[in-house]
Amino acid sequence: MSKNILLAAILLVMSAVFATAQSAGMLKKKVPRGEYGNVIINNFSEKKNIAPVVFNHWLHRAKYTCRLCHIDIGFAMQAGGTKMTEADNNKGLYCGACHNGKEAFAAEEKKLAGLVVRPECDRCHSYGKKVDFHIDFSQFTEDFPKSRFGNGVDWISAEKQGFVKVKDYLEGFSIKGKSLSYAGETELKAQAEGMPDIIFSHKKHAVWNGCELCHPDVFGVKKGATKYSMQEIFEGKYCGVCHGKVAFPSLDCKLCHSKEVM
Amino acid sequence: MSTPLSQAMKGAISIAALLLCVPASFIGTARMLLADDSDWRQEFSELCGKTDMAMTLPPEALETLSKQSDTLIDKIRLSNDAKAGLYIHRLEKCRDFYRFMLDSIKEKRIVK
Repeated sequence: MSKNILLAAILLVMSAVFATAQSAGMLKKKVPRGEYGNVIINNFSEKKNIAPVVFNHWLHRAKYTCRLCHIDIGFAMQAGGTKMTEADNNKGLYCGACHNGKEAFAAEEKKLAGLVVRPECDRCHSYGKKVDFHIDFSQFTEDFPKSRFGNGVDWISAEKQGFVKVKDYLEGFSIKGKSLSYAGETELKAQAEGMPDIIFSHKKHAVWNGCELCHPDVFGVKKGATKYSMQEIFEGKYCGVCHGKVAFPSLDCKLCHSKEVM
Repeated sequence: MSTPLSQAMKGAISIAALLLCVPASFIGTARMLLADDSDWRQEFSELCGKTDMAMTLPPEALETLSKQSDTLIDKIRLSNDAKAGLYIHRLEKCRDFYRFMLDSIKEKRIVK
């Protein structure tokens, strides 16, 4: 009983800390669900008088694993970190690996009333434009299992229940026959006393990310050797590289701090 | 003494030989380049295809994979393939992962 009261008190204090952190600008402003995880790519666009790209993570993650894009195709984990050019895409690299008219739509030239146009350009270079997207977030995710934060979708359950079928292989990029055999769960001790420990599922993470996406770049730490804080996670380090940007935000404490308190 | 006719014949033969040899050498070079590229792609798949089983590999195997990755990175650097940069980046990630696993094993041994 007293442990439950202590737990409730800790959660209350943590919520107050999060609220303070948010008001101090440490946490990102809440964005509409359909925009959670969006990345504005503007390395070269505006310099060439083209609208920046609005990359929607939600649609891509519903179709492909994180590993496919961030390992096999080579997209950086930081927004704007890839510095790809139109020439790269035309060579079949980066976005061009899929957006080639076969795997996904391409920016092909079409003749419209005697004029040569590329109507598909706006589907990516959409920043500041009113674009009629072919797929709407709310409709697409309407029946998906729900989550409290982020874009409101419980993606792990959505995959488990067959709402999304993510592809992990792209011809010309991926290695055939790779399968992850590690299915372990790791228990991580919470730093705050009384806070439930973390049950970290390597399996859940490895299915979407593979191994080399996280180790050693994101987690160079050896098991138990380095302690990292929630503050560092909020600053985008460790778990915060994905959680809070694309994966569910760290505000959803119970999804990680899930060990039952005895 | 050679007659003007035999000289003309020799000239014609030389030109014909040249015409045959030049394209043949181009084809040979192109074949070599293609063979090299498919070689390193195959090697790449074999090296990076083991990350998912790295947890089960002994330190010696991880050490070998890491060294082989370094050698292959140098080889890919010489390639003109448009995707060479991407493959180098991926191979570096695989190599770093093998080293990470190797360090983890060494550390565990020290702790024990």
